[in-house]
Amino acid sequence: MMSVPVDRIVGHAILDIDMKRGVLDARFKVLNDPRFIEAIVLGKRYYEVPSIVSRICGPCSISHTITSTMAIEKAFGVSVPEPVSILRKIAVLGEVIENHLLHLTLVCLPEYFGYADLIEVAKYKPEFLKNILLIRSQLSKIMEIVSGRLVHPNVLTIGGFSKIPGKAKLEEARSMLRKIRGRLIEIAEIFLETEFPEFEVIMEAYASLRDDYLYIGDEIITSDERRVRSDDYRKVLIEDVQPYTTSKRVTLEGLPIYVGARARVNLKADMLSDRAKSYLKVRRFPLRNPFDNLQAQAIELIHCMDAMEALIEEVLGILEAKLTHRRSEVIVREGAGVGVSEAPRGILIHHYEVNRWGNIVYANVITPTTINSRHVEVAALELIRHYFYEDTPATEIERYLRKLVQAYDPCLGCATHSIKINIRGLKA
Amino acid sequence: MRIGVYSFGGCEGCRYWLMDSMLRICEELGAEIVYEPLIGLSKEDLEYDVVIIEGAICDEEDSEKLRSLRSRAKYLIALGSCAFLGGVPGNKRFTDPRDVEMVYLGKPLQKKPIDVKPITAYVQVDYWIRGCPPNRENFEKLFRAILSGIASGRPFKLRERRLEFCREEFASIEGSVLKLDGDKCILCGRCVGACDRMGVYAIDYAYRSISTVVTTPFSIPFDESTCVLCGQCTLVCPVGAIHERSDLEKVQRILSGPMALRAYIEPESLAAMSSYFNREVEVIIGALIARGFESVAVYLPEYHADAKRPLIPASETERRFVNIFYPQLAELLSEPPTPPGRSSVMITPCLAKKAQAREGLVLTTREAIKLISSIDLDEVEETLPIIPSRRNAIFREVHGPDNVTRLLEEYTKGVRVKEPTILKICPGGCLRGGGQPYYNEDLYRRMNEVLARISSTLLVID
Repeated sequence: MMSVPVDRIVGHAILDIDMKRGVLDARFKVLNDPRFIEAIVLGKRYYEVPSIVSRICGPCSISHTITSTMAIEKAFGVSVPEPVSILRKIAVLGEVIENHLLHLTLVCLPEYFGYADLIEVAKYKPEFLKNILLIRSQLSKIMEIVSGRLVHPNVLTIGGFSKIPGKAKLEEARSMLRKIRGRLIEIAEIFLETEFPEFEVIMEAYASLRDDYLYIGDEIITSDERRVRSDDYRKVLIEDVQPYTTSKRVTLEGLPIYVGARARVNLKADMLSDRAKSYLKVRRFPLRNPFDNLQAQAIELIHCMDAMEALIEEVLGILEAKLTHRRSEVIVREGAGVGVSEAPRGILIHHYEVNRWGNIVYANVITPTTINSRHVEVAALELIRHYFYEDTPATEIERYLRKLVQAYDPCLGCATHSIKINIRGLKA
Repeated sequence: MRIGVYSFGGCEGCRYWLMDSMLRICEELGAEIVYEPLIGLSKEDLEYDVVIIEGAICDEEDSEKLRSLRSRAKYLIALGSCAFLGGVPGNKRFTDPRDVEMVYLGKPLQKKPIDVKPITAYVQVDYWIRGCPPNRENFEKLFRAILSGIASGRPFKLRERRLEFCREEFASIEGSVLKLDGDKCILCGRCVGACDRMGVYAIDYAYRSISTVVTTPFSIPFDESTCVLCGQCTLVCPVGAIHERSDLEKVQRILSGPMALRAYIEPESLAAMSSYFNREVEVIIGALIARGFESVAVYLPEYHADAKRPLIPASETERRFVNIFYPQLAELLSEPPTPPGRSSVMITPCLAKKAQAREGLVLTTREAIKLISSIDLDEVEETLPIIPSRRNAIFREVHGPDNVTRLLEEYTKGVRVKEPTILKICPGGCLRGGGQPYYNEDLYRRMNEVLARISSTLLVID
């Protein structure tokens, strides 16, 4: 038995590998505490929901807020003004940059470059760390302009924004973004040049959303060319509960499936910005290695930055041409709505039913990490098969496994609305 | 200085949001973050100088872990609303447990979730930093102040006490039935209001400014004051500063001994207990028997009246009221009904019965509720109480302080023909006696319904 604790992820989890009697079994045990958010929102008023579900996860709180907002807007049949939808996109893009940056630099980089932890990086490369902290502080200022706060945004409301940034503020955000662009590209390049452990998962399925690279889409598309309307998500995405983990598991009709940066790049490479495409050319495509997720994230860093700038231009153009209202009127009615969006770590689904007084009577949330958790188990087995028979020492396999789980960028706060690795029966 | 950052059930947003602030301040002040798995520092240490806790305690394992962290840390900081108050996970308390079960599709988990409480419910916390997420500027100021305070050996406290004399003890007022604990009193004045409403004015504010207390005139014992022992003040005290003498321990001691005790229960008490537990009357009787009573009988008071003494006090309270405020009518008073005698316990809504009891013991409804609250009412054998076969003659009844006062005024002026009348001075009669459960509108509405049911079924003689 081998038990590998995984750190450098948002939460606590253990990967249990059981090799007794020649049967290999992997269990990805999420140990975060269950918080029952879906039960907590029941009976609450519709406008309370986004601020409650935002607390599912701090790092991706903007995605949770926007997706739940969209679900409730669908239930009420509200359509939002154009600049609102663009500003929401900008907020999600900013969140993706922030999340990828944290995962690539503060979380993954020390391990890939031979440092024990971030403190050691700070000791030997103080400028590098200062750079990252500077980018983060600039980003959080940009996000303060767009969504009020980086964590748990407070100006996003149902129907639109309670406060919309003025022209001067948006121009300030644009110049800040231009200032950090060079530094971000430097960081992305470091990862695009890194060598990762080589292996492939044979059976692979992945999914993303059609129409737009990030943010929104009404249709889920998969690698086996299925197209599913967002309202019918339950026809293909099957939820089940395993007693060993506090995260639900979601499969594509039983098939392990992954979502996130790698799935997006594989499915929608043609929607990337030109600069991001030029970096993709040097890589093998599609990205078959789970470790390539880090590269996909690096590519997305570049793409999101470009897309964000373009969107700021667009919204500036609209604001200049005419005065627009920042919020649609919301009329409460009975109904159900499914909001689907691309969060930093993949497809995020929020499903609510509202009664005619505006109280929530049904809630379901599927987060990217619950979808990925089954694929982590499959990939871990694949990795052991690949390396174990090459007589790789167990400590090395353990290190690889830990890196593998990290590469998926699991966000376990999300999954439990936590990684340790156990390997059973593996000789040292 | 060694720092550990631990996270329990929460969105990890505080840590994520304030990571760079923490790193920067720690570097400035020469502190070392030892444990923070998010950035790869995953080797736990045995002892820390400072432990930062984020998130709410959601299961047993967490609470054990938190206690162990407390014993290993010199200072404990609670970061964010989840640790400080329970946060969003704490909302579970207001949710139907069946809904909670259905989140995991009704299947059991290895983790056993518990009710979410603030972490102060488990351990002592040195500093709180509030917010969801905490404001960055506030956090930086506070965190720097806390760390530099600890580093300099003079950790800052907000416990400075400027008025040492505020700590002097407040006098308590004693009495045979009632007791006012001056240390507990928060000077809210609800008891003063209740007493005024009864027209008794036995307690009021005295002295000025920080010396203000609620007390009887010259702090004399209740029995010497104008207090009529109605106990309305005990019903409204939010902190339990004013309360009755408790016979509960005595009763419990006798119940565990060999002596057989019979319980007499007044219909109002029975209705109150039945509505408090939301169970049938028979279950409550069963529970009392399960608690060790030999038998339980319904107590119907015996009123004595004749043409010369038409005022019938329902208890010692009314007799005191007339004696103190209408001494000219004292000769019209008959004797109040006496509680049953030796080797019996009376369960009553009336506090004054405690003053009357010579031989037997008297429990208020509140005490009786405490007595059976440890019993599993689902497993109790339903029992019917013993119903007395004798009934009183029916007299006119006057309820409430205003009505009683009006009647007594009229008698004094002689504008009313004297006929035998039972006086019940508690507002609404014995149902709102001083020994009943603390006031709650819903509960009292149900009590009314149950009492009506008891008198129309149990107490009917054919």
